[in-house]
Amino acid sequence: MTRTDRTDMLERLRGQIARMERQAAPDAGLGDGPAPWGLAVPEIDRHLRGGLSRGAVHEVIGQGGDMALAVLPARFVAHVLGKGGGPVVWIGTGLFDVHADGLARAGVDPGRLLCVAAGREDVLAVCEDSVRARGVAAVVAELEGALSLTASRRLQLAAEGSGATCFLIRRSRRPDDRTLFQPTASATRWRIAALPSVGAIAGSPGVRGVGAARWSVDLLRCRGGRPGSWIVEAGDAPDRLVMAAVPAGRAAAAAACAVAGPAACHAVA
Amino acid sequence: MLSPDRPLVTRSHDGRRQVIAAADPAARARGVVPGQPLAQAQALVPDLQVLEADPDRDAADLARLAGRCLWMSPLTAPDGPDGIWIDASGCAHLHGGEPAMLGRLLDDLGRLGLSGRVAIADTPGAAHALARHGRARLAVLPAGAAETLLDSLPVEALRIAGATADMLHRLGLGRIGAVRTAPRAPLARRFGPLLLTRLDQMLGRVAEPIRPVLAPDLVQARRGFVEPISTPDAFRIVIDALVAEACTALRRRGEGARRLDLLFERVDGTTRSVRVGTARAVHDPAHLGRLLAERIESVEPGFGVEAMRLAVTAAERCGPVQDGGAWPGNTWGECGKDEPDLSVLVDRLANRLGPDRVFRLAPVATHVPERRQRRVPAGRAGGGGAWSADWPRPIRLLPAPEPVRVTALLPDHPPRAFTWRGSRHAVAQADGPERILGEWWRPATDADNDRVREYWIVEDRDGRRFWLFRRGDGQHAWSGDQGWFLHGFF
Repeated sequence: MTRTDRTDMLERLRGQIARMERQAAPDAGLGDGPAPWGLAVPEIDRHLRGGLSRGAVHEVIGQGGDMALAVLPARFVAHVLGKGGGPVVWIGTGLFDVHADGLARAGVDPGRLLCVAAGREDVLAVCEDSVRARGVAAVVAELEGALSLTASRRLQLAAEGSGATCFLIRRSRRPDDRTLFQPTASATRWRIAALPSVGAIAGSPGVRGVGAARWSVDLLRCRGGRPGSWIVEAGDAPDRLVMAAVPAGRAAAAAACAVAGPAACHAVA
Repeated sequence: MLSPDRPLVTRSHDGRRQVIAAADPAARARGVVPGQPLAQAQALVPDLQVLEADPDRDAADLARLAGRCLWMSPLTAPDGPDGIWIDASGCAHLHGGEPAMLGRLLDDLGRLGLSGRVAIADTPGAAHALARHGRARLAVLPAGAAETLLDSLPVEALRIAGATADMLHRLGLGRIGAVRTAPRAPLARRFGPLLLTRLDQMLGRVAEPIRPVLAPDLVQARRGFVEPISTPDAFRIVIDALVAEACTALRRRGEGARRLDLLFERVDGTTRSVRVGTARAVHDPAHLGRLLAERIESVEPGFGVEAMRLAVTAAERCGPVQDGGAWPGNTWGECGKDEPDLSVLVDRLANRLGPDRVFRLAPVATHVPERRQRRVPAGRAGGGGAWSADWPRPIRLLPAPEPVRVTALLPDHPPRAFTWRGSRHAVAQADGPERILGEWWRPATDADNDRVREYWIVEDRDGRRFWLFRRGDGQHAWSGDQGWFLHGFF
């Protein structure tokens, strides 16, 4: 077998794998697929090569006491939705506790939302139907408990087929539910955790008022990419939510690394 | 072959012999009466033409005739074997008064080759009696007429059994007036309650509703099968055919379906039905077919289904539709194409989960957070109205505020710590208060209408943010009881 034969075969096999995975190669240029869903946080977008890919499933998990309510995951997803247009299907379980004024504050027009209050066992089926539907830009599903590999693969294939982006807000009644961290076929998995903020005016603890909320944003899994960890400040502006990476080297960043655990801490300056 | 100038009768069988069921005027003129044995009538009239009576078809034709009378009033119903009730309340002025209206009705019947007697009265019973036993072909009993006007009619006009009428005649109570003035208790004891009920219905003392016929212009389609079917695939094929037929009819009328009933007539004589609704008027066969096909699994075919019927039970006009013509993939058009159309998805989810589980959010003009948004049907695109992003608001809101135990130092200060659902949160930072007034236009005694709330955004030691409020302004007892509640999460 000559050298060119071998390279040809390697090329063919690579093409086969790419077809099987049905995802545009990340370095194929922007012209190939739809533009990714930017987060408007330059450091994270750079790490993701533009943003969250469309036509994929993204999981968002809270931490500690927030695992049950998934407040920050909802905030994070709302922030992402605010950066792109199009109709959104929001599937909640049981009672629907999303507050529309809070969504508007986070940058999403509640008029874009089609809300579904599904039963716990219906969520996945409703989610898949919504992802496959024509004209839907994004689907947000609040999923309680474990997600099997098969179910997540179905969702991922559906999203790849239709081009809709699916956000799974994973919830659990138990604060340290390891089943949420089992492997799935989703493109990315995020963990959003609250960090103590620095106060209304940094360095003056006597002043009343809350400052910008501080989150640790951990990219736990990323298909075809590296995990990452950032600390962002969610400034609460009336018209939009601004996320800004906090400069590294501060004491808070160090604290965040401890919270995020042994994952590599890429607090980008 | 029937000839118009020879007497005509219909015959039926009373169990022992052939009898005359009905006779035309020519036959009656020569002494033939209904109920007579056929042999006797044939002896009286040698050239008698005899037809078999067909009560079922008569009833069907009568129902059709009742449907035709809908031009006069929206409520018509067949009455017994030989009459039609028309509830003409509030319709007479459209036809030039009551006598003119009845004249037009007789003309209309005449055009069909029918002769009839019409009467108008305050109650169905009185109209029934006047039309059959009154003197004139066209009678109008004035509204609120005296009860005595009906006194001269024979008791047969009361719609009672023949035996009862015979007995009344024998007792000398042959006229309605005599029955009306007779003591009621002995009559009821002797003849049962029906006689007096009929009398009261005629006089308007007891209400008598009529069951109107439905407007016959329902779009429907039906398929019967030579062999019963029971597999989902077979159902699906039939559904496609039925839906295509119904959609063609709908499209011709410029309408779209809002509700569809699919009936499965099973071999054992029972019927199973599936009902689907749509968020907006639809006449797209693919869309409707998919909605119905998804519901097949809920139908038990039993030993098989021998016929399926699809009825559009609610239809709405949908806007003018551009016919796609030779455009491939767009042969039907759709109602409304202004925005990404989620109606297919909405219908599928609404039919699976229930219509109230799929909704959009619309703002309500109030400051009370838990009443700020309301659910509107998903068919309406966009919630309508404006949302405000002027104030920090939590992204998740508890459906009802939950009381918390707090450790607070001063009435005007945020709490130092609070306990919610058994876990204690120490407050690190707080912002507020933001005062939100209740809805003054509702009574303050409503349990969910607090007069004054003072909201605080608090952050606990872990950085989680909560929305707490204290009921009352801290100064006036009427404004609230100073209780603390947790309401939302940032």
